[in-house]
Amino acid sequence: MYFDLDLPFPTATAHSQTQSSSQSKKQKQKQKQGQQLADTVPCLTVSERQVLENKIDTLVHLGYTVIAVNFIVQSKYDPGTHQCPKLDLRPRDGVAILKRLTIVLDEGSEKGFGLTNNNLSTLSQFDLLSLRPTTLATFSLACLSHTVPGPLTAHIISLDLASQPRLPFHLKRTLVRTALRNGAVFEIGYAPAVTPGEENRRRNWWANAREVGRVTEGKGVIVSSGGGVAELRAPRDVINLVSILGLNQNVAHDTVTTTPKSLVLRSQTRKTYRAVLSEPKLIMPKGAAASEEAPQVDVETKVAVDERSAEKTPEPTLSVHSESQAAVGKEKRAMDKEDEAGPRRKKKKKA
Amino acid sequence: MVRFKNRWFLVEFIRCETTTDGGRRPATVSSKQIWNALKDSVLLNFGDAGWGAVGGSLNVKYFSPVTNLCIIRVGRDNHQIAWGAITLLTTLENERFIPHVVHCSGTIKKVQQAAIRHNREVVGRLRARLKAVESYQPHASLPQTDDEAEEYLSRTAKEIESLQD
Repeated sequence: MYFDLDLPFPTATAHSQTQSSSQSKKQKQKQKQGQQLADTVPCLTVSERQVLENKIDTLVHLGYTVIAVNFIVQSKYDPGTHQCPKLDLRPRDGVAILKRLTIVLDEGSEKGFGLTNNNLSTLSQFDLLSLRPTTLATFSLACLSHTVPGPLTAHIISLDLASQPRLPFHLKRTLVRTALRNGAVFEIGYAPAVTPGEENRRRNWWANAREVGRVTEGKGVIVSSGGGVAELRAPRDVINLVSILGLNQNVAHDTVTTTPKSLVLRSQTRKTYRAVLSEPKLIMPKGAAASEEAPQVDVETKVAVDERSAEKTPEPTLSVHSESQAAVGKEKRAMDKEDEAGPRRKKKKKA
Repeated sequence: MVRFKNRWFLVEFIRCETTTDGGRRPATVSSKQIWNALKDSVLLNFGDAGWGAVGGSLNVKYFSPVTNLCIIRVGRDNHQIAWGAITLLTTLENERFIPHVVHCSGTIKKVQQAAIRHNREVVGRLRARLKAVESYQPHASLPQTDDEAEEYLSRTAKEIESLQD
């Protein structure tokens, strides 16, 4: 099971332009007619969809099974203009296609970039959120406050590795550690390494990717493509490429398998209450009520339930019966004693 | 004294530009050109030291222009460099390709078996395409009918099996 979590939207930047123009039209229409929100969700054009299908076909041929289509937004996410287009892709057996949002953070986005509770409903349509910081301030913001579990957690911190010979900021150990502890991952996109004709970008990529590998020691690193069709590589080739970066073979293997898998699972907790994945349920076996014999696994929970019912149920029966009955009073005292004895026994066991 | 150990790569070159009917054209390169491209890639990405490490043993054993399948031999010690160079290969004769290492093994026997298996897969895909799409006209160098495909498979299987270490 191999993962590629960065398949850029075809013409993502051009899309936002067309969207902004169409948005103004829509606003006019809204003033006139009050159009429904469902109609404003943009669709991919035929050629764009063809490009995307072609890319996904190639990825599936190369052996990937989980693919995330990446919708890139500059500087600030605006729920009005940046609506994720409908994908409407051909269904494929055994292949999962996710939606991912990446916000590129620059100086303008230090005050805020749209990951707020107001935009929760529109942001929840994305399976994965990620940030691409370009300054130190936004990097620390991404590492510290936006990795905290919640409905708006940005799980992927992706860095622009190719544009500068050295990263624009120092990857501080404390920041990186906090982000990794909170469950965020760092992303290395290998497209610049396999793009011909861009000598400087390729060199920058090798230097910066090594730096990311050095700081994180390979833990919590995912590798994804982030390029066109010709820049895609098979998962095992990618593993070898990462091991050339100076990471161990097993760590390199994790970057396209285990780490992204746990990441995708973790990102599902965005949609649950306080990152709880499942509600525990007590399942009694069928014969338990009749024979009063539960299997050993359930004993603890069953005891807990019995204790609770024992505490609650006697009280109403006592109140129903006449209070003057001495026998009942004795019973009650005896039960109280038992109750007192119960915790003592437990304490002894603990000691 | 230990014998010289090798690594064998089975590489599939996937052409990026698809033809209008969606089928992939076969490559127009030879094994010599692939060797040259690999050399350039090693020199570009790993420098003279890298070429010194793998250059002595790098050898393109087999290339099939129909299925774009290639068998490459390299010394085991620094095979990661050679593999990296294969991955970082972008163009062959000014055309974009995706090099895809299908199989990597220590003996020629296993790579032959993998090559025959993979060939059967590729040809099977071609035949499925022939049946499914009525208007599909495969490229002149590809097998046109089922019989030709069978004949091609048995021929290539013999070719691959006759490879010697």
